[in-house]
Formats: sequence, C-alpha cells, structure tokens
Amino acid sequence: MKLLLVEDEPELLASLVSYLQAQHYICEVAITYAQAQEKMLLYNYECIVLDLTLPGGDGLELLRELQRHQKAAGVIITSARAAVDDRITGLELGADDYLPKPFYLPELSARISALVRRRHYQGTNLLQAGKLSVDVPARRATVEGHPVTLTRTEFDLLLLLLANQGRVITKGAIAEHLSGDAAEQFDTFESVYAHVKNLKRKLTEAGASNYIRMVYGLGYRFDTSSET
Amino acid sequence: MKLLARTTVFFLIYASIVAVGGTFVYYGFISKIYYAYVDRTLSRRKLRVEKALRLHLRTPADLAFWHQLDHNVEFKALSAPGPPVSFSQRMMYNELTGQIVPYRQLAAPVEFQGRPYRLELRTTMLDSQELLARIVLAGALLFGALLVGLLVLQHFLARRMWAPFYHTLGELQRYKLDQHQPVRLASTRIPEFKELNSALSRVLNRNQRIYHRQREFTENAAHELQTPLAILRTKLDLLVQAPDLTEEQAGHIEALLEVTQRLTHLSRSLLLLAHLDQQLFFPTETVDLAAAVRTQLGQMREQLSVNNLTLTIAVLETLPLAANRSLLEILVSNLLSNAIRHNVPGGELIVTLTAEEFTVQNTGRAQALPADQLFVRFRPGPERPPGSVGLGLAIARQICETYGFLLNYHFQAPARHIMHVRLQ
Repeated sequence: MKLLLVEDEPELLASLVSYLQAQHYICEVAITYAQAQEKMLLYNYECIVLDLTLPGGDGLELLRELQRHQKAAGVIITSARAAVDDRITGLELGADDYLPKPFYLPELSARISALVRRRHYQGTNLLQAGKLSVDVPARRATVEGHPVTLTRTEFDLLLLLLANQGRVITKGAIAEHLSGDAAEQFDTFESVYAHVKNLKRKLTEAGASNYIRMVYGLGYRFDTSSET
Repeated sequence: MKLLARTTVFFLIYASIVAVGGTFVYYGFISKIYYAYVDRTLSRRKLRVEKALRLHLRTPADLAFWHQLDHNVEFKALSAPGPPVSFSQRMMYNELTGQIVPYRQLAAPVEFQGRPYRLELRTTMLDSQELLARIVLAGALLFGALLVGLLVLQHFLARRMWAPFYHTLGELQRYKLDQHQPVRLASTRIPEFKELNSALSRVLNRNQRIYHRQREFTENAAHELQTPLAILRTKLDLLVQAPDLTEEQAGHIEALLEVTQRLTHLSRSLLLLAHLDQQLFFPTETVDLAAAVRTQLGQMREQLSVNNLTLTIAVLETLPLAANRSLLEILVSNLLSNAIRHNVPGGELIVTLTAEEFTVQNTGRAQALPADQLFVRFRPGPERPPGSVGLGLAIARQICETYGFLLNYHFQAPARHIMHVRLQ
C-alpha cells in the first residue's frame, strides 16, 4: 500500500515515515511543492498526507491540480493552519480528511486505514485480528462468530486499536480520538481507563482475552500474538 | 455637572453679583446727580429771593406773607448772622398729600433791611423719589434683560461651538479597540478641537495598530508552535514503541506526554482566542444546544462518577440556535468541565437550560471567586488547578460575546458557584 507524505519539516517527516513503515505502508516523501506535484501526477498513491504550507506553494493548489487531473488518491490534510475556512476549502477541493497539527501518529494511522478501507471495500469490509473480526460499515464485532455488543465509543476505540496493532497508543491519543478536538479540557484520563476497561471486559467475556495490554502508565497496546 | 452648566452657573453667580452691586451703584449715582440738580435749582431760587429782598419787599410782614403764599419759602429773623449756606434733608407735613414727606432744604443767611435773617428754601422730594425709583427700576430691567440675553446667547453659542467636542466624546464612548474601521472624528475650524482631534486620532490609531499587531503576533506564535509540537508528539509516539522500555523511562515519557498535551491545549486555546478576537468567520449552522449539553454531559460521565458528584439536569427537549457547532460545544464543555473540576468530592452539579438561559451550578469552595478576574486570560489564583492553562473561562466569555450572550458568575452562600449564560 503506497503512501505519499508531503511535509516540509524533516523531523516530522522522519517520524511519519518511521511509524507508517512499521505499519507496512510503502512511504514516499516530498518536501517541496514541486516534488509533491511531480510525484502526485506521475504515480498513483493509495493516500496522500498533505501539509498545506510548503516551500514553493500552497498545498491547496496541489489539491486543485489533483482534481484537474482526476487522480484518484485519498487525501488527508495535515496543517498547522487552524483557520476554519482552510478546512472547508480543503474538503471542498476533494480532500477526504483534515487533521490539524499537532496530531498523534496512531490517529493518523487510523485515519489512513479508514480512508483506505472506504476507498477499497465498499459494502463488505471485514477486519480480522486473531479471533476477532470486525465489520466496519455495519459497526459489528464478533469473536469466533459470537457477537460482541459494543457502544459507539467502544467501537471507535476498537478501530483505533486495530489500526495500530502491536503499537503502543498513548492515553492522550485515545482521549483525542474518542472525543475530538473539543475535549481536551480534562487532564485526567478517567474516561479512557473506563472505556478501555469495558472493551477489554467485553472482549474477554467473548473469548478474546489479553488482546489489550496496558504499557506502564503510558497507554495501551492491542496485540493478538500476546494471547495466552 | 456638565461643563456647559458649570460655566453657566459661574457666569450666573458673577452676573448676579454685578447686577445687585450695579443696581446699588447705579442708584447712588443717579440719586447723586438728581440731588445736585435739585440743589442747583434751590440755589437759583435763592438768587431770585435775594433779588426780591432787595427790590420788592418792604416790611417783615411781606416776608410772612410770602411764606403764607409759598410754604417752601421761609424767613426766620436772627439776632446774629447765621451759619453759612447748607443743604439738608428734612421731613415735613405736606398739605396737598396730607402726609409727612421728605423735603430738600437750602438754608442760607440773608440780610433784610440791615438785619440778619435765615432763609429756608424747600422743595418736596416725593415725586422725585418716585422718579428715582423708576429710573432705577428701568435700569434694573435693562440690566436683567441684558443678563438673560447674554445667558441664552452664551448657552447656544457654547452648544454650537462645543458641538465638535461632544461629537468626539461620543465617538470615544463608542470606540472599541477591536473595531475594524478607523475612528472618524468630525472636522472643525476651532484650532483647539482640531488639535484635540488630531492628537486623539493619532493615539487611537496607534493603539489599534498595536492591538492588531499583538493579535497577529499571538496567532502567528500559536501557529508556529504547532509544527514543533507535532514533532514532539510524533517523536514521543515513536519513543513509546521502544521494545525494552523500563518503567522509569516510561515515567519520564509520561511526564513529557502530559506537558506536550498541555502545550497543545495552550496553543490551540490561544489560536481560538485570536480567531474569536478577530471575529473570524465561523460557519453558522443550526445547532441544538440542548443536545450539545446532553452530549457533553454524557462524555463527562466518568469524571462525574470518579468525583462522586450528584448530577441534576433540567434541560429543554430541544433548543435550536444559529451558531457554530464547535464554538457552542466548546462553550458548554468549558463551563461543565469547570464545574466538575472545581467541585468537591460528593458535591453537586446542577445544569438547567431554558429558552432564555443556560445555567451551571456547582458546589465548591465556601468562598466567592473574584468575579472581575474570573474571565481574565491566564487568570492567576489559588483556585487554578495544576495543569489548567487558565483560558477556559476567557474562551467561554469570548464565545458568548461572539453570539451576543451574557456570561455571568454568581456566588450563593454557603458554597454554590453559578455560571449563568443569558441567551439573547
């Protein structure tokens, strides 16, 4: 699965590449407007992660160009510009998602995988992880055929975990994923603990125990191999 | 007292002093002139009497007869020559009016047939006093008319001439630092006001420029922070993946994560405030405030139960408002989270929403918060919990201002804190 990462900040780019490659994506990078333009038009990508402020031009222009050439790539805008109209213009120009900086890598990974799923599997879209299988469009999870009843939040949490299997997801990333931008008001992570605990209990009751592990106080890791 | 009223009062005091004093002086002056005139007439009459004494009168009986014809001429025989000519004032019976009236009298020594006499010539002052009074009255009236006229004139002139000043004052009262159009002061030909206006325009426009620059600075600073923060966050995300992480390292990372979270929150809050200040366009849609309140409360269930709080809600079924969804959500969430954060374990949270107002009540410290500092950005104070950036209420108020809501704080003894949002 090939991604194009357009980002002019080398350290940030390095982080993206490092994390996403470990997620088995093939990452190509562009650090200027011209590079991005060239690669975008020359090759086909599953998904383009696009920064808006680039040396040599505005990322929104790239979107227009992409539209003109009818390239069928999913685009996730990552921008430090929080202006509302940027977001609206971006989405109007055919971007699929908008992720304001600073973001969490697991969140970006989840957005990419959601985008890829949406673009590839219309209708049936089954995620498999160990004994667990998840029907994303129907928002249904089953363990060896037995349905697991999850709340909306628990299901969202499960999707985040599944998109970042084997990786540690920090509590902050989970909190932001579950409640959006508006809910940074709490410095406590009680709701994260509660939701993870509930999800873990439901999965264990259904027979998929030990998939979710706490990593010190930092966060959680979803791993089917650690099953005992 | 207004400036104009004040000058008028001083003018009035001065004018009445001058009027009263002036009337007396005027009276004294007129009466002096009049007495001089009467005295001259008496002196002339005395010359005529002296001529008559020399030419026409023969015996003392003639003198008595003259007095009988004219009471105002009297001769008194003296044994020795009398005192020199003198004028005096005396009261005497007047036959015509039947009253005792004031007279002006000239007394002079005369000689008749070689013997000394004292001549008294009189004229009644009755009519003349009346005349004097009328003259003074006329003067006083004239003076009064002048005074009133001057007052009216001064009033209107002042109003006209001070018009540019009042216009400028009105502009200043309407002036807001964050307004977009520059201040326009009326042009005037009066040099003082011209100078005042140009000095004011200079100051105001400078202030506005500084204010805009500062706002831009805040926004740019917040923007510039996002990328380093993004690097920090992503590096931490990578760091936690390290396979042989020790517990101690994890502790350090956790602290870093927390600080990064706080910085992110801070920079986003600053950015939001900068955008609200600039009245940037926030797309308006129909938002159900009641639903937003319920959703936010739902998301805070865990916090409520952790702190063992009792929640009481009286929220309308639905309350559609034309606003920006995220702004309204931030407003509601800030107020609610505040009420939870500053609550006491086992306390109460009461949320009410009617068509007119949204109220959040919570139990807390048994002491009112300083209402004037509550909505200040980066509010200092002991009630600020660690980890809070101190912008939540400032943002809430700014959002309320954006939509014309009124956000107020009340304290109810013994320990109830109430946040009040008046919708419209």
